[in-house]
Amino acid sequence: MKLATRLAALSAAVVLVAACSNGASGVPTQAGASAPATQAAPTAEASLVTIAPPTDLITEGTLTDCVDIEYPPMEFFPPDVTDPNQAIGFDVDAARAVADRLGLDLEIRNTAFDALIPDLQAGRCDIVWSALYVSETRLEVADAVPYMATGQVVMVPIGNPPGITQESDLCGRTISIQGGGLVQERAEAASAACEAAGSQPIDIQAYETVAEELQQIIGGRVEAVWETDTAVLNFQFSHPNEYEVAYALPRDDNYGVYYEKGSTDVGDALTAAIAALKDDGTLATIAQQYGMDPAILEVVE
Amino acid sequence: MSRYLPPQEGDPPLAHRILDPEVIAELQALPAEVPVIEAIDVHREYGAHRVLRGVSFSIGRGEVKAILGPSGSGKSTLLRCIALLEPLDGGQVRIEGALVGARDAGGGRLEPLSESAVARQRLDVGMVFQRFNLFPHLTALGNVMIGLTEVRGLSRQDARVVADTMLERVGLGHRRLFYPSELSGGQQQRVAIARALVMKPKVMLFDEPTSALDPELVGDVLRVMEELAREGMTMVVVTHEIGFARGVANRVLMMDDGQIIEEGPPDAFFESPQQPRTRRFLEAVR
Amino acid sequence: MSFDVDVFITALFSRALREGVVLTIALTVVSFGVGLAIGLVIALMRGSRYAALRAAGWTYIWLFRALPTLILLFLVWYGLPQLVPALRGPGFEPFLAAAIALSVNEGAYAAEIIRGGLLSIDDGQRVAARALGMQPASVFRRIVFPQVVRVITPALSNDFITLLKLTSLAYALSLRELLTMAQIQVSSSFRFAEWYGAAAIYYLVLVSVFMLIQAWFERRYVWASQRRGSRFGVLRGFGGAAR
Repeated sequence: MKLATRLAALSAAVVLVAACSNGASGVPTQAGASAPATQAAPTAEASLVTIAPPTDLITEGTLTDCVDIEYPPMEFFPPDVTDPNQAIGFDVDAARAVADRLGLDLEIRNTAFDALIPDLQAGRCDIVWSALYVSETRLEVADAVPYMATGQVVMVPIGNPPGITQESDLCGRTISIQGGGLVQERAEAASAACEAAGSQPIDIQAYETVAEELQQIIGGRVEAVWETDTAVLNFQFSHPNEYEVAYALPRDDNYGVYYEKGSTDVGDALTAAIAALKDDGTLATIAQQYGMDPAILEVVE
Repeated sequence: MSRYLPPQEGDPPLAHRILDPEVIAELQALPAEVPVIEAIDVHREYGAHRVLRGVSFSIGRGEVKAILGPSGSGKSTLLRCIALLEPLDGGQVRIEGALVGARDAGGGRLEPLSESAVARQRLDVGMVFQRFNLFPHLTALGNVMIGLTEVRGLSRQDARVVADTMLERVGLGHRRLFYPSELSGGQQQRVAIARALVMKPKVMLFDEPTSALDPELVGDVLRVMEELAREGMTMVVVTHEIGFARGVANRVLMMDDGQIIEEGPPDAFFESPQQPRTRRFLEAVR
Repeated sequence: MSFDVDVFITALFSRALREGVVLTIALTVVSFGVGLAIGLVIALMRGSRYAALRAAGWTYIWLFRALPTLILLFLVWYGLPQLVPALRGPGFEPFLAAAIALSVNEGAYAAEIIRGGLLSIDDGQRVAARALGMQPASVFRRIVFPQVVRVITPALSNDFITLLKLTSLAYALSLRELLTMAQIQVSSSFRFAEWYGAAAIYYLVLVSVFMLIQAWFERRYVWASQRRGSRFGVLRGFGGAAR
């Protein structure tokens, strides 16, 4: 446990540094601006396939990946592209690299967020690689391979007008969040803590999509946004020098690639491929391409 | 109040022939000793209400019979039963002596025929309704043609010729491309008569044909009916037009409460009605 | 927030919305067509002599008007493959599932509209047709049905337009129709007004075109020998019926 705490602290520090510099190491990719033409070149070519592909696939020779292609920088479309198989983003590029490693074709199914796990359960996907948190509730119905550590941050306008530096500073403030997930649980708990301490509760406005949630701070209707670091990162790229991270929560959640519960065939191949791609630096390259710190690939145990 | 008027000066001339000579010949060739159509002890009830209580009625070749009576007496129902438009709850209908609408199931029982089979038998009977019941989505010509194309199987061209001719004869050739909503009541009823006549029925039934018409239009329709009678068509007319009944019918019947209570030649019927209910009714309508 | 006209124009002609609208139109037309056919069958069942058919018709209408469309979509997408093994493969596309769900849904509403139309036809029409010796099928086809069509057209047009917008619910099945496409673009560009504005223009155009079609269709049911022509005759539809 001590190792994990140290890693978490290190990650948090890294994020703070990264956030305060309002950018990240490496070339940032602006969503919706220039189309990144280069993907991370897969270091494995067909002749270097070293990992046996799973056999229990929906379509032989193809890895079917369900993704909600609406979440830069993890998965999104370049301008004027609508074909899911030409989507870009960390999750998509990494999935392509994994498929290459396994000697499989990649078939991306653009799937609504709420339908991701249900479609996996219904046998329409081999994997779901779509920036989903590894959570207890999901693990009850599917299995996952963690691939990225992530956490949330609270973002404010540049200059931090409401002067927020920690969670208790949120009491009595208006914030926007994406509803129905981990953030909602934590925000509500924080609000309860405010009241217990005799302060005003937090005015929590929950929205269905990240875009709506972020629209509120653009419009000045909320003072802060509580959201996942990756989404905030992307938003900052498209609105440079307008927003900053007030503080970051410990990065103790993971994104995971989900696969059908009990399907060890797929799970083992996935784990091996991801480990291999991490070892040879492929994943790190992809991360940097989208402006993310490769350190986050050290997943929380 | 009689609204029947014989043809006046200045009225548009009516073709002297509504029916083709062949048709007239056919009508005259119908057997004289067998009723063209008859109802034998017909019963009809709607739930608990008995509308026809054992009515027997017959009409012979070339006869014109008028049926009078108060509303609710069962006149329209009798006509519809004769036209095979309603199932019977008792009794039978015969056309030229042959059972129609049902078949003998043995042991004195009658089994109603399917709608499909009865439809074919209705060709011998033509009916004209109080509210015309023209088809609003068809022109006058279309209305008259549709029976010929759908039922008699004529080609559209042949049907058009026949329909055109008949409309001309009832005095509506110039309005044949108009829709029912563009015709006066009297014109609509004449289209309805033409529609029934082109099917070459053996008997024509009229259910209060002029009751829904404005007074000044009644004459046009009655004149057509009179001409038909003159040409030998067998007709049953339920009407309130005393003048017409007196002037055109061979026999007049009075119905009340589901039964025929009196029948006789027009003069006798109107001059000296036998039944008190008949007398009361005639006094009320004069 | 400012409205960027360039972004709006780009959105208006973007491939995303163009592809989305094709799906929207296709889904609407297919679902409406099949739904109408189902509705006719159900309406006839409800008027049948046989009590079993009447009951079946009533049950269908009850069930598929009660179920919210979204739930119906989920039932077809997730539930149907459980019942019908043939649908478990990748061939069972979101479009097919959405079309099935929306058709079945529309069928229930269309059935009631048609039933109302059948009731509104004066019984004298059927009596007169039968008196001419017409077979039941002819009575329906040539006499009753044309009159029913005229009566039900306004209500069914309403249904069509509603269905057009209801297709956006198919997002839950991952179908990338018009509104979903706009939403996706918004999520990466944050330009709400421009993208939703462009989508709104698409819907406006679609409904306008449909209303013109409806007016043209209704003109064929104006039963008058002289159509009251006017500059706006095409739009007046039934309003122009001569009396």
